[in-house]
Amino acid sequence: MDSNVTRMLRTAAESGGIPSEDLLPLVYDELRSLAASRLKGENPNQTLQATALVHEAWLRIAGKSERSWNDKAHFFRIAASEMRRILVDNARRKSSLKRGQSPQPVDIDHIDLAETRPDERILLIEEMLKRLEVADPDRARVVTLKFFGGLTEREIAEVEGIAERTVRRLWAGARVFLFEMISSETK
Amino acid sequence: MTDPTRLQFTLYDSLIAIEHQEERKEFLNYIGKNDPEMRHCLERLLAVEQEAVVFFDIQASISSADGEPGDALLTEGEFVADEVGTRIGRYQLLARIGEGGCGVVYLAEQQEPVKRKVALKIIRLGMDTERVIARFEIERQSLAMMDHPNIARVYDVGATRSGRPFFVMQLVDGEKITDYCDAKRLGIAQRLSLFLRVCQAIQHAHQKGIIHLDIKPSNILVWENDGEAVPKVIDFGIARTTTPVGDGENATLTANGHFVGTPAYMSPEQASGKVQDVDTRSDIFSLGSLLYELLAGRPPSAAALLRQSGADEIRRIILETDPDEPSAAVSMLSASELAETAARRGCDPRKLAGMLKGDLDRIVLKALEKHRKRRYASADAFAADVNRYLNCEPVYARPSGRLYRLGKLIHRNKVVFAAGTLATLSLILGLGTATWMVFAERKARDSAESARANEARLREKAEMGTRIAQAAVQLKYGHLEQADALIAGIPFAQAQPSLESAATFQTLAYWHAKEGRWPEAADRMAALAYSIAGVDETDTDKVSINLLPAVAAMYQAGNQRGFDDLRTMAIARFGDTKSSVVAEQVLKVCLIVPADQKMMESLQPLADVLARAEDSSQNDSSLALWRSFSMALLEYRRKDFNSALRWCEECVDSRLNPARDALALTLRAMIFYRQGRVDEARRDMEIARRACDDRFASKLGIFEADGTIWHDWVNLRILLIETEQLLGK
Repeated sequence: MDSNVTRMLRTAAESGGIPSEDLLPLVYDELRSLAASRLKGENPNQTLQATALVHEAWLRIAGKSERSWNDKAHFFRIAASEMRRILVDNARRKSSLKRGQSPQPVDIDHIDLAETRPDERILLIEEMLKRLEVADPDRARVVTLKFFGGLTEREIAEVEGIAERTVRRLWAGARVFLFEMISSETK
Repeated sequence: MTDPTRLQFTLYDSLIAIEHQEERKEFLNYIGKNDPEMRHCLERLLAVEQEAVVFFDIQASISSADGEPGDALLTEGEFVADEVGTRIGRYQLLARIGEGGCGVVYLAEQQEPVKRKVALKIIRLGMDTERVIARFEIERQSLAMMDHPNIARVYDVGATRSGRPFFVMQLVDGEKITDYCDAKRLGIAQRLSLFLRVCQAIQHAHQKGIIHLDIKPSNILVWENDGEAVPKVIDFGIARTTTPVGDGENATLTANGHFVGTPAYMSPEQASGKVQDVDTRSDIFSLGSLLYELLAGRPPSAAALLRQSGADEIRRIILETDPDEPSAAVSMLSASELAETAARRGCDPRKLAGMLKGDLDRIVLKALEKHRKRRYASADAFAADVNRYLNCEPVYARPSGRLYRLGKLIHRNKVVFAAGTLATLSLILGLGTATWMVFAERKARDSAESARANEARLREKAEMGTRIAQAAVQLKYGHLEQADALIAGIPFAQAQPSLESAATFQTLAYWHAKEGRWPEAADRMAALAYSIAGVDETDTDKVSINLLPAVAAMYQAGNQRGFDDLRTMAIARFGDTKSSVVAEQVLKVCLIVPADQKMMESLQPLADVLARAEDSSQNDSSLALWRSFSMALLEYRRKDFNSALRWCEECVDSRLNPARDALALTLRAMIFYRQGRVDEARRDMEIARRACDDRFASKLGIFEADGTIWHDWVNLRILLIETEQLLGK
C-alpha cells in the first residue's frame, strides 16, 4: 500500500481526521485495484464494471455525511464491507430478477451446489458469513476483506495487525467451514 | 453439521498446520479417542477442502441480468439523508413535504438567479444518476416548451452530493384530486368537469411530445383560485427519465424488484415492460384509471389486491383481468361503504350505480382497453366523449352492436391514429433537428460564459457529449443504427470520458465487429479506449486492456493512422505505469509492428517495469506467459536475438493458448532467421501460418471456443506478414 496514504492519514489522525473528499484522490487507485481483483477475466464488459464498482463503493463510503478517516485500516475495513454490500445487493437483485419476482432469500433447500451461479454463491456465502460473524468474528473479518474486498493476504495482515501466515490459516479454514455450513444446509 | 464451534475451528486450524500426513493421522486418532464425533467432523472438513476452494473461486460479475455494462450498479442504495437545512446546489432544503415510492419531496428555496420556493424531489431508487440526467437533458427542451396552466413546470435536474438525481419543480400547493373531490363532496358532473381539465393538460403535453407515464391521483393536485378548482399535473418527465429502459421483462422493475410507477394505474404495455409499445395511449389508460376512481371511489384493479401480490401476480392482473364496470364496482360495496361513497359524491346511494351504468361505464372501459388501439386515440378524444356525456349527446364509446357507428368510429380513429403515431415517433426519437440545434446553442452559451477563450473547443465538446448521451438513449431502446449514426462523426480521440460513453462505444464496437464492419468497429473501439482511459485515471490493466482490441481492429480496418494515434496515446497515458500487466499490454500493442528509434526510447520505462516484474507471474500462469512473449518481442525489436530466443522458448509451447503459442512460433521464426537457422525458421513459420489460416477460415468470434480472444489472432496475422516478408515467402 502506498506510503503516501499512510503518511497523509497519520498526519490527519493528529489533526482530527481527514474528510472523505480529500481522501478520494489518495485512495482511488487502491480502491480501483481492489475492484479489479474482484473482477478478473478479460470479458470486455468487466473492464467497465470494475470502474462502476469503485464509483459505487466510493459513493457509499463517502456519501455517509461527514465521515473522516483516522487510519488506513479503518478505511480498508469500510471499503471492504461496502463492496460486500454492493456485491450482495447486486447478487440479490439479479437472482430475483431471474426468478421474476420480488427479492427472496435463495431457497437453500433446493440447490445443487455444483450448479450454483456466482450470484447465488455470493448470497449463500453471505448467509453463512453472518453466522460466522457470531461464532468467530476475527475470521469473518478476514473473509470480508479477502473475499469481498479483494485485499491481498499481505494487505489483510497489515490491516488486521496479524501475521500473513495467520491470515492464510484463517482464510483456508473459513472457506472450509463456510462451505460445510452451506452444503449441510442445502442437503 | 450445525454451526461450527470454536473448538472445531481451533482443532481444524491446528490440523491443517500439520504438514505430514502421518502426523495428521496421529492427531486425528488422538482426538477420536476422546471424541469420535469430532474426529468424524474434522475428517469431513478435510474432505471438502478442494470443493470449498472451487466454490469460493468466483469471478464476481456485477453486471445486470442481461449483461449490460451501464446497468451494473443499479443497486438499491441507501438513501443518504439530505436533511432539511442543507444546500443542494443552488437550492436550500426548507422542509420535507412528502414521500412517495420513488423519492422524497422537499420544499426548497432557490437562491439564484431568482429567489423562489420550489419543490425538490430527490429520487430514492438506486438510479444511475448519470443516465437519468442524460435522459432528462434530452427531454429538457420539450419540457421547457410545455406551458400550460394545468401543468407544473419542471425547472431543473441535478445530482446531490451523494449522487442521487433530483428534480426541481414548480411548487404546487394543492390537494390530491381524489381527496379534494371527496372533501368538497363534488357530484359526478363536477368531477367530470375537473377531469376534462386534466385531459386538456395531458393533451397539451402529448402535442409537445411528452408522455407522463405515471398519471395517478397523487400526481394531480387541485388548488382553488378565486373559488375555482384548478387541477395541476405534477411530475411530468420524471417517470419517463427514471424508468429503467431495457429489454422485455425487467423494464418495469426497479433494482429491488418493485414496480416503477403505480400498478393500480399502469397500462398493460407498461406492466409487461414492452418499452417499444409505450406511447401516449399508455397515458390514456392511466387517465381511464383516474376517472374510474373519481367515479367509483377505487381504482379499477383493486389496489388492495395489488399491494399484496408479487410482481408477477401484479403483472398478470394488469394484463389479463378485465376490470369491473364502475357501476358494478359500486354495487359490490357494502351498505356502509356505499353510503359513504355516495355521500362524498353528494348523491343518493340508491342512485349512484344507476348514474354510472351505461355511458359512463363504457367511456371508462374504453379508456381501459388492454389493446391500446382500442382506447381513445388521444386525451382530446377522451375528453370529447366525456363532454358529450355531460351535454347528453350520444357518446362514441358504444357497445359493438351498432355496426354503422362502429364503422364510423374506426374510420374516425384512423385519422386520429395517424396523428398519434407521428407524435409518438417524434417523441421516441426525441431528437428532432430543431431540438438539437437549440440544445447545442444552449450548451454553447453556457460554455461561452465559463470560458470565452475556449469557446469553440468547448462547444464542440458539449456537442459530442450531447450526441453520445442521445446515442446511449437510443441504445436503450435497441436502436443500434440510430445510435451509431449519432456518434459516427465523432473523432475517436474526442470520445467523452464517461462510463456511459464507454458503454455506448463498446456496444456499438462489438456490433460492428460481429458484422465484419472493421473500419467502424475500429473507430468505436478506439473511442472506447480513449473514453475509458479518461474516465478511469488509474494505473490498472483493466483500463489498458482496451487498447488491444482497438489496435487490432485498426489493423483489420487498414487504418494506419488510427493505429499510430493509438500507439501514441498508449505511451502517453501508460508510459509511467508501475504495473507489469499494463506494461506488457502496452508493449505488445506498440511492438507488434517494427518501431522506430524514438518509439523504442519512449518504451524504455515500460520495458524496465516488465523486466523487473516477478510477482505478476506468481499466481497467474497466463500473465507470466504473456510477459515472456512481450519480453521476447521487445528483445527482438532491440535486436538482442539471443535474449529474445530465451524468452520465446518460455512461452512457445505452453499449449494453454493456441493464439499465443502461434504468436511465439512466428516470432521465433524471425529470430531463427536472423541467427541463420533458416530451416527451423521456415518450419516455425509454416506451422504458425497453418494455425492462422485455420482460424480465419471461418468467421472469428469475439471469444473463440478455446478461450482465445480475437485480437490475439489478428496480432498473429500482423506478425506473420512481417515474418513472411522477412523470410521471402
